Formats: sequence, C-alpha cells, structure tokens
Amino acid sequence: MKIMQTQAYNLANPSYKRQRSKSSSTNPQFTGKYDQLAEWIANNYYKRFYNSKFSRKFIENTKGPMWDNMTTHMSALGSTLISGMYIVKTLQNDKLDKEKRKTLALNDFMVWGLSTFGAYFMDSKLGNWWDGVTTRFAANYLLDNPESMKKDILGDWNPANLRKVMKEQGYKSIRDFNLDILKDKKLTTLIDGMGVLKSLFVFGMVYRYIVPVLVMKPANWIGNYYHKKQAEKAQAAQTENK
Amino acid sequence: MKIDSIKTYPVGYSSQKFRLKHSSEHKSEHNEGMLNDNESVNRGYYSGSFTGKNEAAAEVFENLGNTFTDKIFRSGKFHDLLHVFEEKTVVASTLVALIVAGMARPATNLAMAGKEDREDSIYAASHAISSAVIGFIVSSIVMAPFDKAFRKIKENPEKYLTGLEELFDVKEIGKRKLEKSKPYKKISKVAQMIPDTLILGIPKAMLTIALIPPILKYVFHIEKGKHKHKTQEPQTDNVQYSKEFVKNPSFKAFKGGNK
Repeated sequence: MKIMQTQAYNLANPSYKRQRSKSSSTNPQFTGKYDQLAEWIANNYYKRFYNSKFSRKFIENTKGPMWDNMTTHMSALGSTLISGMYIVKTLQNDKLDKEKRKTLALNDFMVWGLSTFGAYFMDSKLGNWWDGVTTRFAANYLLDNPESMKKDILGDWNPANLRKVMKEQGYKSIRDFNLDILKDKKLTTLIDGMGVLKSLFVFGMVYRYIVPVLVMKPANWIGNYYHKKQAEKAQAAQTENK
Repeated sequence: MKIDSIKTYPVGYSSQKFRLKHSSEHKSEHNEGMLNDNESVNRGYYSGSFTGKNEAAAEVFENLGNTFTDKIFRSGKFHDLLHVFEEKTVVASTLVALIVAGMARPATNLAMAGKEDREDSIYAASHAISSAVIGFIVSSIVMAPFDKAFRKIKENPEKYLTGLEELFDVKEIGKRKLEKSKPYKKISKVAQMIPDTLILGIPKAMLTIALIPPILKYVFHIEKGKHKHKTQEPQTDNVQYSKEFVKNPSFKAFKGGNK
C-alpha cells in the first residue's frame, strides 16, 4: 500500500526527491551569509580590480597575440614565484656552506628554466592540434544539440561537416564561428574550458611530471653513477697508498 | 552512413546569402554581440593556441560521435569538468596537480624504484599524494567564494562593470558582448588566478605543509623520520656531497616543480 502511494507520488512529481534533498542539505542562513561574502568579494575585489590602474595598464600593454593565452602566463607566473621563493630560501640557508647554496640555487633555477621553456614550447606546439580537437568537440556538442546548428541560416547540415561549414563562412576558429554564427553561450564556455584544460595539463605535466620524473630522475641516476665511480676510484687510490 | 548523407547544403550554399560573417544584413539582424567595426580587435581569442592558425587535415570528421574520445566529449560529466576549468581555474589547476603529482608521479616513481630505494619511494609517494589531496581540498574551500563572486559578475556584468565599455572595447556592457571582448577575457583570467597566485599561494602552501604530517600518520601510517634510510655507500667527499645535496630541505621541497 505504501509502495503504491510512493509510486503514485513520484509519477505525479518526478523531481520530488531531488527537491527534498536539496532543501534539507542547504541551510538558508548559511546560504545567505555565503552569498553576502561572495557579493562582498565581487564588489571589493573583482569590481575594484577591473577598475584599477593596473588593469588599464595591463590591457594596454598586452595587445599582441602572444598574450591571448593568459592561463599559460598565469601558471608560469605562479611557478616562477614559488621557484623564486625556493631559490631565495636556499641562498639564505645558513646550514649550508656558500658554495653548496649557490649550486642548489643554480639547480633550482635550471629546473625552473627547463620546466618553463618546456611548458611554453609544448603548449605552442600543441596549439594547432588542440584547435582541431576542440572543433571536433564542438561538432559532438552540435550532434547532441541540433537546435544550436542554426539551420534556419545555414540550411540543413551535418555536424561532421563543421570544418567545411566554417571554411565556407571564412572562419578558422571554432570560437569565432560560435560567437558570430551559432551564438551558443554554453558552447563558448565549453570551448574556453577546452583551452584552459590544455594549458593546465601541459603545465602540470611538464612541471610536475616530465621534468621531475622523466628528466630529474635519470639525471640523478647519471649523477649517482658518476659519484659512485668517483668514490670507487678514490677508494682504489686509498688502498694503493696503504 | 550518416557521413554519406552530409552533403545536404542547400543549393547556393556558398553564395552571398549564406556568407554571413561580413554581410551587413547579418550584422543588423544579429546585432547583439557585435562589437565595433574593427573586428580584429576582439577576434580570435581562444586560449588554446598562440598562432591562431588552424591547418586542419581532414575536413570531415570521420565516425563522429562514435569513437571513444567522442563518447567522452558527449558526456555531461566532461561538460561539467570543462565548466570547472573555465570558471574555477584555480580549483582546476589543483585538480590537474592531483592527477599528475598525486597519482601519475608517485605511480611512476614507485614503478621505477629499485629494491634499494623502495622505502624512500613509498614515503615520497605518500607525501606527494597527501600534498596533492590537501592542495585540492584547501583550494576548493578557499576559492569557492571567489568563484561564486566571479560567477555573479559573469551573470550580471551590468551591475559591476558599467563604465568600463572603453576598456573592454565594447559598445555596452552585457553578457553576450563581453564574451567577445579579448581584453575582458584576458583580465578576467588574471583576476581569477591572482588570489591564488599572489595572495593565497604562500598561506595555502603553509597550510598544506602543516597538514601533511597528520595525513601521513593517520592515513598512510607513516611518521616523519621513522622511515629507514638505506645508504651504505663508501663515504667519500663526493658521495657525501651528493647525499647532502639530496637531503637538503630545499631540494626535497622543490623537486623540480610547482608544489
């Protein structure tokens, strides 16, 4: 009897469960305070930031295409600051003698340089390929959202032909094509997300995987092998002297 | 099968009628989102490429929607992930760190470890996993109100950004119009990432470092200093130097990357 009642209720209101769980999990007082905090940040951080002299100068001085990929530059800046901090800490470490400090700092600097150069190099090399991947992603999106295909303007077309349609319209960038022709806001966010995904993964892979694991580890092996050989030589020389 | 039926462009598809990009008819019809006459100013923003060139190979996507990658592309979870990457970039970067430094790196290090340095590798792997997990959790909590604030601006830019039309190269402030503005996109990414990079980066790193020992103790049952160091190599100056070099806290902390 109870089961039947529940079924009937759910049929009448399929979203009942979701609504109930949502209302019970959020405390309105907390939500209100949290919203106030977000509003405060919007007004006192973001709004001030956009209106600042720094923003104006920044925009004036970053007009070239090399500045388009800001995610990459911000990731590089973050890594540079942290690496810089380690270099300064190493140089100020009194427990080490001067020469060792210098050697370690130079090592930190070289690792930073190699990582940064590698990340920028990979990011730019993958750019064209990733454009193609993103276009395919957009074609898949259109496959699932045919209402965004603007058939009233473009006629009947298949998303598999997206590249051809873009070319016909004189577009190389899927983002521009979407902004001008398809005008799908969600797709714009997703396309931008694809760009950020690539840049963060390239930086993450180079800084946190390729250099520390695939470069530093073999370099350490070579270093250890060299030191071992030197130690053996020194030991042999010592025994000979005895 | 579907691909075969693609060629369904209407007759005269490439005629002037369908060349929308530069037509004045199109501009007046779809005026919303149009910026100014100088299209090059706001065109081509796409954070995936420096060059803007797209020398694509095939013009038709073979087997669209059916490959493994396509299935990922079509999944709602992947779309949610892309939203996170675009709108919560800092959290996304810690998510990448979690995958790369918290999973791939320890796994590779453990796989590459010999019998001699197995114990050290297990300790390093536990440390890396703890650091990545804490980093992700701390960032998600700390950045949540910032991300919500940014969403507020994105959803209602008129309220916060009115008066900045010239700066953003738009005729008026509006959601659709700002989507096309390169200056807005650039400075927004800076605004999104600065709290983490410049302001919260160091306190966050300190909190992460402070939380690592309890995580190591209670989750991995490893305590600092209790793991054994195997090193029974000949004690010469060079070896001693190399050992000190590796033991140095700065070297351990850095390990060639951004923590």
